[in-house]
Amino acid sequence: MAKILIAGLAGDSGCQVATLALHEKLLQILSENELVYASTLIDAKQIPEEVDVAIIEGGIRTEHEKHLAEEIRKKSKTVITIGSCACFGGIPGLANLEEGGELLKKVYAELEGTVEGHLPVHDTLTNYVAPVGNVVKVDYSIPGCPPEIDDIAYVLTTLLEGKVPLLSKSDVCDDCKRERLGTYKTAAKRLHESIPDPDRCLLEQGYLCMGPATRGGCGAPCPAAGHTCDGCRGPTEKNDDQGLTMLDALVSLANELGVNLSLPRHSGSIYRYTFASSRIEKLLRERFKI
Amino acid sequence: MSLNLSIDPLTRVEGGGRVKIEVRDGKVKDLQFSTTTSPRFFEFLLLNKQAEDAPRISERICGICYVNHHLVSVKAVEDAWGVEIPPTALMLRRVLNAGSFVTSHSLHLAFLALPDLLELEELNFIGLAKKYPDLAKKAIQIHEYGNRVVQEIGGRVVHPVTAVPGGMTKALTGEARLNLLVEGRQALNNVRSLVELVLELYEKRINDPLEYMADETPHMGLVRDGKHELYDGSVRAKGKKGEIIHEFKPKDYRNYLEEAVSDHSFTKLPYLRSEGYPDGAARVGPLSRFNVMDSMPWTVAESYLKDYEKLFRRPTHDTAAYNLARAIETVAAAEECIHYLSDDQIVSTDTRVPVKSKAGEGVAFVEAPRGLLLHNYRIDEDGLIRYVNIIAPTTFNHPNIERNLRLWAEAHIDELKNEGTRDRALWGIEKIVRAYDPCLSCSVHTIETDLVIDGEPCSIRRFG
Repeated sequence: MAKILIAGLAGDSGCQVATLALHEKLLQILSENELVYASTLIDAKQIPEEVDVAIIEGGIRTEHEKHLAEEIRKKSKTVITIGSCACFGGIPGLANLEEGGELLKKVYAELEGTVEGHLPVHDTLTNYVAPVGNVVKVDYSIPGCPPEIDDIAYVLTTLLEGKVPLLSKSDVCDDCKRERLGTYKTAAKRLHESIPDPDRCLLEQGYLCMGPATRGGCGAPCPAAGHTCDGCRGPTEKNDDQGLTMLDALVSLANELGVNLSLPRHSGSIYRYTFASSRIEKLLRERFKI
Repeated sequence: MSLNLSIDPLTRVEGGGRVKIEVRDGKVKDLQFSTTTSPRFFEFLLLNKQAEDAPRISERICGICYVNHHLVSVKAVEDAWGVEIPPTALMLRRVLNAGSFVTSHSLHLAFLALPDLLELEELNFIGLAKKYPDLAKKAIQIHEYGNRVVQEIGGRVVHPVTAVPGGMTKALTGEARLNLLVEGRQALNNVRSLVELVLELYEKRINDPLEYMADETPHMGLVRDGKHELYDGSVRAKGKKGEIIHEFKPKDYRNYLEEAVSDHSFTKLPYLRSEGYPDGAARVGPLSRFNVMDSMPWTVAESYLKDYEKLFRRPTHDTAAYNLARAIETVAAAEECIHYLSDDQIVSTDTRVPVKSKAGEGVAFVEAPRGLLLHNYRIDEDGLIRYVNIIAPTTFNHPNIERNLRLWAEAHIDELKNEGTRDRALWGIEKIVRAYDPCLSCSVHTIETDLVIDGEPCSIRRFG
């Protein structure tokens, strides 16, 4: 009978909602174990002293979240990060193009429609969004935005059986059913401008599909639904920097990109979920003190 | 003599939040309801991004209202680019949006609110599943149905991908449509049992005007030809006395809505310009939608509306009505899914038109389960986003929740002061917050602030 904790940091609770979609399986897990803290589901108001499995959703954006992660780590035997915010910083990490204080100024004072002179004082805001692993030791990670429901079930049940869960080593292209012919369009296309062939590899058709740079195991639902993979499961097993892996793939795939890369714009494409844990972000912070 | 009470964290709500109450000389001196979910600066991080990516990025604002953010975002981009989508795409989006109501409302009712309404000993869904396994089973089927709709039409259960400027990237297959229809009818039956249970609880409930309370406030929601509407239409606002004060098109919103900045919570506070602040701070959500509409467009929901009207006037300001309205809206949403899925045009493969990006400004509203949601973008000639304004439902409701709590705390001051009754009184506070089904990750403008407390911390409510 393991004591389970679920905590949400800087994220949107989507991973907890995905966990709820386990339905009967979740009820079964919770009948055989004990849920000791999960503010969206039960009324416990304090982190208990002893936790067996702690599941953390969301990254670190405030000092409060940093302390919470530390407290959970101290009291828990096993810590799992769930979702790409906790694992890599996630979409909130795209804000790392600016330092925290500057963000407050931009959103509360400079954005059109805001009232001058009302800059909030937020002492607890950290300068940058960080993955949970930058603050405390993490035992297992379940990436994805949110992770596939089967992944959550697999990791939880495997851990509770005392075994070690393993992540898929494939990339999203390995999972994808679209046909690859090995010939490429030369210019990059944006998805709203034309309707892709439903059976052919999206990247080969010129759409920026993050499949080659993204960890698989999801079954490639986005390309199956007619849209590009946007990289929500983070880098593959072999690589640590998703955007660089993608650029590498693009250089070897296409003769000409037809795109001038700009960080404010393309961080939203090739680093959508992993900017806060990318090499380029570290480099920028060190060299240019952004 | 001063007494500081706090509920931290608020539980069985989406996202992080807390309530702090300061009692001095037997009166409520201060009460603050705040969001503790950290700010994630979506209005900044969307800047300079490709506008067609906004539906997939902005839905990460919320892990419960993702479908609604996804859809309002694509609508705002299409508004800026002057795009007309094929009729099938519109039908798919309507079903997708309605499906999200089925999921979100059933989650709130069964997992978060019903344990309170049934006054379960174990106040959560695990307790519900133990005591009422059949009910829990039905609730799970309803919740699962909404998820299935989102997965089939949106491509994923959470954070769908298929809405792009110009339509939908995925057509519905005949087989999937048939399954969704069959499961939809079963879900509707289960929702009906759920509504009947909630109705029964409401009919038995001693109508205690002090149980939830609330000030007279304006209410806002979408209507289409005066009828209850979740996806499109115009925004209707009713005043404190229930009179229609405005009905406006999305693109004109700036003529009717303004945003103030609070001195203590740094939440932006949207309000109806004509009424001023704070009188113009309107409520949104199921109760408000019931207040502003003339009637339901769906027959089963309309019949339950008659039952609702036996218990509550329309309009009503009583926060107690939120949960019942939410239950009946779940019926409406299931009926809307079935209605469009029954139309053969829904399986047409004509779901998209190619579109060109251009410079322009776009505004769109949808109803999210917890209320009216706005996205407003300005896009440049390269199709990049240059300006973003998002008003989420909980941003509208935030000041009203706080006022509602204050009113209630003032009326229940003795129960709050007395240690023997305090826990139950604080539970009363949480029930009010929960009735609004606030989405604390959604209130993107909200930042937590600490009160400077003059006095000793007295009691933190503990469970278990």
